[in-house]
Amino acid sequence: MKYIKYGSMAFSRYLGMCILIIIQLATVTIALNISIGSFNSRNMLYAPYKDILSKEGYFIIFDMVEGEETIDGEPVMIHGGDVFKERFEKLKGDVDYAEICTLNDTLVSCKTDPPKITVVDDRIYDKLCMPLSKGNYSSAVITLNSSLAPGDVIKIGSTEVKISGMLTDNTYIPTMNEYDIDMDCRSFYEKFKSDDVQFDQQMAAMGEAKTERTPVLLVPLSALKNESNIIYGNDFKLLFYNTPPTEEIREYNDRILNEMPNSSITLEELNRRSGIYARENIVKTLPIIICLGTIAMFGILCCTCIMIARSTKANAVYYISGATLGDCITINAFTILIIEAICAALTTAVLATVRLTGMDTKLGMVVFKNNWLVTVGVFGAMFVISAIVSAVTFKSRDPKQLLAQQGL
Amino acid sequence: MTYTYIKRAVERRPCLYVLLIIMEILSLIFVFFVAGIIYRSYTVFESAKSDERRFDVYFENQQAEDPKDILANAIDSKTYVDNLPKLIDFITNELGYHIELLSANAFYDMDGETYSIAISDFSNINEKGKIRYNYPNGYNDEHNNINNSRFNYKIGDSVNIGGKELVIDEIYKAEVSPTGFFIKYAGDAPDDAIIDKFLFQLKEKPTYNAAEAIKKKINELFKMPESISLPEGLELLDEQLNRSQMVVSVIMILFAAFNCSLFYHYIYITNSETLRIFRICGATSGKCRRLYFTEILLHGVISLASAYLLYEHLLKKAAIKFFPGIEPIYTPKTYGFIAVTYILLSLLVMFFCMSRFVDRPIAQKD
Repeated sequence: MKYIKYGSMAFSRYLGMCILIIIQLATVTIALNISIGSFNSRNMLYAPYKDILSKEGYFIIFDMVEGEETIDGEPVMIHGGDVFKERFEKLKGDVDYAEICTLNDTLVSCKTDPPKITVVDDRIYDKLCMPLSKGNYSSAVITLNSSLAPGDVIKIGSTEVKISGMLTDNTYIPTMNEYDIDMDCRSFYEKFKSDDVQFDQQMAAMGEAKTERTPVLLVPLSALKNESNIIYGNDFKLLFYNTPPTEEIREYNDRILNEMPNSSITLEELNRRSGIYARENIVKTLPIIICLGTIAMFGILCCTCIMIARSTKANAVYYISGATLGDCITINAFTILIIEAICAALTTAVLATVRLTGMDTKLGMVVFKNNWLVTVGVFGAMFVISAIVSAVTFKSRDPKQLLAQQGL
Repeated sequence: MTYTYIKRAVERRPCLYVLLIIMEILSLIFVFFVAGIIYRSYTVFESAKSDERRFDVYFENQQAEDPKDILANAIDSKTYVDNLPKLIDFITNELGYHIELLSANAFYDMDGETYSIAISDFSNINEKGKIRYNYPNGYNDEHNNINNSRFNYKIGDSVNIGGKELVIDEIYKAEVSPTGFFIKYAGDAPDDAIIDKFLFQLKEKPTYNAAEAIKKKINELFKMPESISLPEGLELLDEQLNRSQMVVSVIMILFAAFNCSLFYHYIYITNSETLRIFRICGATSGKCRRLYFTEILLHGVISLASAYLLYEHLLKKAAIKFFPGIEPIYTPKTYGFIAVTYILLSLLVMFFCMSRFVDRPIAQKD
């Protein structure tokens, strides 16, 4: 306790200087957290698809194809995704596919209006990391605008699915219904907000009376393994090879796939663009923050030296009163700790304000564990360096010498 | 007096002064580097969508209702083909960008019919004399033959366009583009076709200034088209760049100046006997303050000059190697802005730090 007391006394003695140091350190940590938050926000969209996109393959969209049925002699056009399974069985090599489908709500029964069911491939679902307001991702998660809550059970076909988590209001829903030549991982999501003004306007333009978004339930495909008859294929697929194919297999499979009209983009290109998107902000801001942090570090070191130089007389008094040199160094370390604690409180307050006012969405940031880890790491490094500098400075300004100079 | 004081002060505590100069130089080098990084973050893009890289140049008046007025400003393909190499040269050699796609849209009257012609650039020299025939979806029969008498062409057919015999080597089912020919080598374009628009897409997202320079060049070469649509979002980026550069640079300079002033402060408070001697010998507090300011100014100038020389001649090359695209920011104007801001802020911060210290009574103990 006595160290905290004397550390606080030193802090209040050099309040002006300490405040300026707090401003510098807080600027660095807030900037660092915004930068990491921005990286998290982007990486959150990339991470679930990263493993699949790292493999060889295509993101492919199948056009409509002629079905076997006819009306007035004209063949009925059907979705390419519906006939894909037959073609897929003909493919050679260690090939697989992942997709995200939407189920017809007539197959869903629950105590309230049925939510829209989005069935997500397990390899993607298991890595989803959009922030949750409650619960976890263990079985199925629902959007915040639903009256259903974690723990509720919903019946899909003949299978009961227990809701395990609830997403935050402003979130992303995995989807696969967009293809363009410039696409990256962002195209695998749609933004979801219960009071989405644009959505309302679109609905109104389409003459729909409904102006509120239907809640969405995200279910892993494995939870509906007994319901394969109700899950129809999507026209969009992530087709990939688990092990790299031979040239012969690749050519054969490409030929089979191209028998169905399609447009595709290679996973390599998609992965490259998604990686650039995820890293873009952090690559741009990190060098700036490192430079800013180094300059702030100079300030903290100067501040430590000045405080020690100015408090030599106080230290000499402590020394006379029986304190050791180690005690004096510890008192100074506590002063630095107080500065860092105030910085940590300021950083937390700013981040909490950003979160509570909804600014995080505008800034495009998501706070994960890595924010805290990096912040603690920065504070730790600052503390260790300043403790070393203070110990060295103390040794060069021995209280005994000062007392002798003062004739004591 | 100033010289004697500085000489003596440096001789007494050389290590501290060396540390101070190193700290100042490092801080200024960081400021120079960060200025380049901020510039790069708004001007160099690893990946940009196609509409952020595309220029559309219209010669047709899209507002006009009378067909004559619509194409009143259109140019002939000879003007286009003659000036195209100059535009390509300007973009690639003078501005350093790469053209990914270039195509012009023209109308050409042939055998009483008006055909739409797309003209590529000069890069397809191997495709000289070859054209692709585009036909609209719905005109083909079950054997993929074009079953419309008006568009009755097949691969290998020779077509005379503007006096040049061009061979159809490809037939393309065009879902959206109009029926006509795609001339693969710009030199094969007929002289008297009417160009209503052309577009090109760069491989890299251009800066606002580069896009403006390209626009100016197009106006100069193609007698002021009706409108030129620049890549999306550039104006906004330019504003953000100016704002960020200014704010971050000033914050960093402020931090650097403050920290260096703190260091001076440390030197002075550990060396207060000298000040007392000056004051006892008759120096006023104003004189002492001027002395210290001169010292700070001198150190600042030395540090600035050293940082500039080190960065400009040694570190800039390495920075450019790791962060290509930062070099345009390093102009005398940028260095001047940093230098003036640094000196002014150092003096300002030091003024506040020094005032209490210098004005203290001589007899007061530390």
